[in-house]
Amino acid sequence: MSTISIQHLTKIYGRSAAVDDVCIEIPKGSVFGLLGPNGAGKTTTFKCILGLARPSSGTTLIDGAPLVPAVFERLAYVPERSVLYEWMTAGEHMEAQRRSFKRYDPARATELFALFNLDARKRVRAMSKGMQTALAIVLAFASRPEILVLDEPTSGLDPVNQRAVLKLIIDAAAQGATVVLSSHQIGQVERAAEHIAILQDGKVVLNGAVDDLKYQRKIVEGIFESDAFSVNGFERDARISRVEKTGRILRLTVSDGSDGLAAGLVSQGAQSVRIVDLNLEDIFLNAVAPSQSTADVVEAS
Amino acid sequence: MPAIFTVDPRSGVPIYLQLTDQVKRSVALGVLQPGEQLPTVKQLALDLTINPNTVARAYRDLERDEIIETAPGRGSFVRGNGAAETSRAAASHVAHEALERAVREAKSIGLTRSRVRKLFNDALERWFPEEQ
Amino acid sequence: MYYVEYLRALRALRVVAILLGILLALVVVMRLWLAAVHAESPDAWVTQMAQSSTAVVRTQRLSDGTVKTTIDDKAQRTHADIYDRGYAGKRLVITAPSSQLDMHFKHPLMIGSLHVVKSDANGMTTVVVDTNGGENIGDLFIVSLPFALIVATILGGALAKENDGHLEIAWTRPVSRAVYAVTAMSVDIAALAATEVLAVVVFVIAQAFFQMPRYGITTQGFQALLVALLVPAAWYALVTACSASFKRGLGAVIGLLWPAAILLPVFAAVRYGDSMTARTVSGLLRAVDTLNPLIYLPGMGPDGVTNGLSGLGLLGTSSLWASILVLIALTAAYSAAAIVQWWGVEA
Repeated sequence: MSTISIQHLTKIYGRSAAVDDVCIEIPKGSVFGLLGPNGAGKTTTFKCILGLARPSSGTTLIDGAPLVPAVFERLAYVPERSVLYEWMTAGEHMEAQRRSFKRYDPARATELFALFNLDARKRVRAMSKGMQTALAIVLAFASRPEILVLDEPTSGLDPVNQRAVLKLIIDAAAQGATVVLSSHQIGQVERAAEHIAILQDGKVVLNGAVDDLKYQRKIVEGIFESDAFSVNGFERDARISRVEKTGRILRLTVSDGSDGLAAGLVSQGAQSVRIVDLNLEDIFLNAVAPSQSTADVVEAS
Repeated sequence: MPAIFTVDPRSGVPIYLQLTDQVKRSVALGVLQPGEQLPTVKQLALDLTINPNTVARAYRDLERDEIIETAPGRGSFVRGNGAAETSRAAASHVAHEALERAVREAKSIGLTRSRVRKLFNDALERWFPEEQ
Repeated sequence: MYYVEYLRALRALRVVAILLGILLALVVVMRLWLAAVHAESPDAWVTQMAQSSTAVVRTQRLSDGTVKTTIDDKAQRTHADIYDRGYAGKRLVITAPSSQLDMHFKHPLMIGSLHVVKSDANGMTTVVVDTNGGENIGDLFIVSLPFALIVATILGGALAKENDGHLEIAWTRPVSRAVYAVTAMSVDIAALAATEVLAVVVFVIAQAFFQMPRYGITTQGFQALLVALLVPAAWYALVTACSASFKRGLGAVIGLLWPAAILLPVFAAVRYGDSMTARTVSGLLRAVDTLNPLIYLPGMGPDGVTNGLSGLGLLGTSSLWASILVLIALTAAYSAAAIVQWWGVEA
């Protein structure tokens, strides 16, 4: 069963849809990366999951049931921007957490405090952006949640602390927690996440297991004798999302079946054929760049 | 356990494939001895900062390919039974992939079939001189 | 989940404690200054008389329950009868050589409820001092009310404060929105009561520096106490309800509510004439003014004497019970209005 199930979620602010008919299933025990450019609807999706905003239509379920306050006993949320109380100290925040959550583990909290070099007596007002992020992370992980919703959990952190957060996520996942995270640091998502969904303009443009996406998505490059070869048929092939012709070189961005397409190019007379692997960043950029549903034929001189 | 594995998440090759290839290679080369214990899923995930399920998937594939075996509660081990065959199978798999890639690369840069054959024979002579 | 509000309340109480501390310091300075000009309380002087080595002290209980203490000091030519009638007051009748009494009663300390009558005869002076009985604890609560109103203004708008960038914390705790709001508001209202108790304790300490009254409570005093507790609570709930939908602008809400609550009774009391329109305007203002918690304070009604209800002529009586019931209803209604809005807010 999915830990988080988002079904046809739509959220309209004013006249525009921040989230438009989004369907995502987040399997139990997985690390799920939600990617997308700024304003794609990631934060709004999180707010709807957590009941902070009401969906205009559609439903979100947690463990198969609508959200109830008791879920927060085992769910932690790290929002995109700091929502800590500026006038309170780090220690007071911890105390508030201890009184709110039965699962709060003081030993764990102390350990995490030391990990990020936080000072319990320091007021949030006097903390840097990175320290505020770190405190929010500590608050979230101190109660050993089963579900973690992390919206840009490493923003403002230095590389050492970013890696520390990543390890916390992996450690939680290894103990069976379900983690949903959004990040502009695609490298982090690539390491930590098994599944991703890419949002653009409130819609899901790509959704799948990272390894499968990498396994399937390739660029097939063929070099022909002359530039007088035909690209007919490629734009109708559902597996091809982009056709790029530059002189004698043809580049196909494919979502599946790269081997067959490579063999096809050879039989069409290509002198040389190469299959290029794509990393997640390439896949991301390919997914959000062209929004046409049919293949895009680019003829460069 | 020394960090004998590395992964490059930025590479387009799925991480679990990077991992299975490396284990197979280590077994083929004898870096991992039959019966030797592999790191736990959690440990390897934390060491490489990659998703634990990805490690688990790699271990499952290795188990299916009969390269490792997992004793519940004790961990994963390089198979002791028929270790030689396992190693050879693993080695030939890795070699096959590498050869395939090399030939494809040679074709891409426009080498002729006879030129490729010549290169292949040269390589054979260098690495298997006793079989002349 | 109430911890954040608890910390806010503690910070507000710290402000009150500082104000009261300053007040107490001023009282101590005043007391020292009075001591410097030889003023002292009659009680203190009588105690001094009784401690003289030549004094004979007798105590007896009269038939009406009054405890009569007689101090007779032949050597000093002083005599005092003290009639202690408990809550109903205490009477001191002191006779002594004029020279001695003049020294003590030149600057009698008139702080507290005292009534002094002096008469001279043959170089002897007789002083009759009446302490007019007990002081009503309820009145002290009324006096402490400004402090509670300050705290109510500081703490008011608790929900708007969460709405200003903290909903993601407040709403991801394992309690429903309604429980969160009710708990937070209860903590704040408890802090208002604590403010008044704190202020009353300081007042009692301050009075103890002078003439210690006998504290007691009558039914009317109890009613005053309830009014004193309820007016800040209703005011707090009003501020919270008026700001619950706002992310910012809590300051503006408070800035508008105070002048409105003070000016509305004034405009409601004005007679605009006998025309239909004038009477309608007047009636409308009076009707709106019933929602104003401040008019239920004794003396805040449009007639300037009784409390709001009787002054508005809505009830034929100036009964404080009616005010108390209305204040409870207002607090509950404003709180409910705040929670309903809180339910509709989105992060």
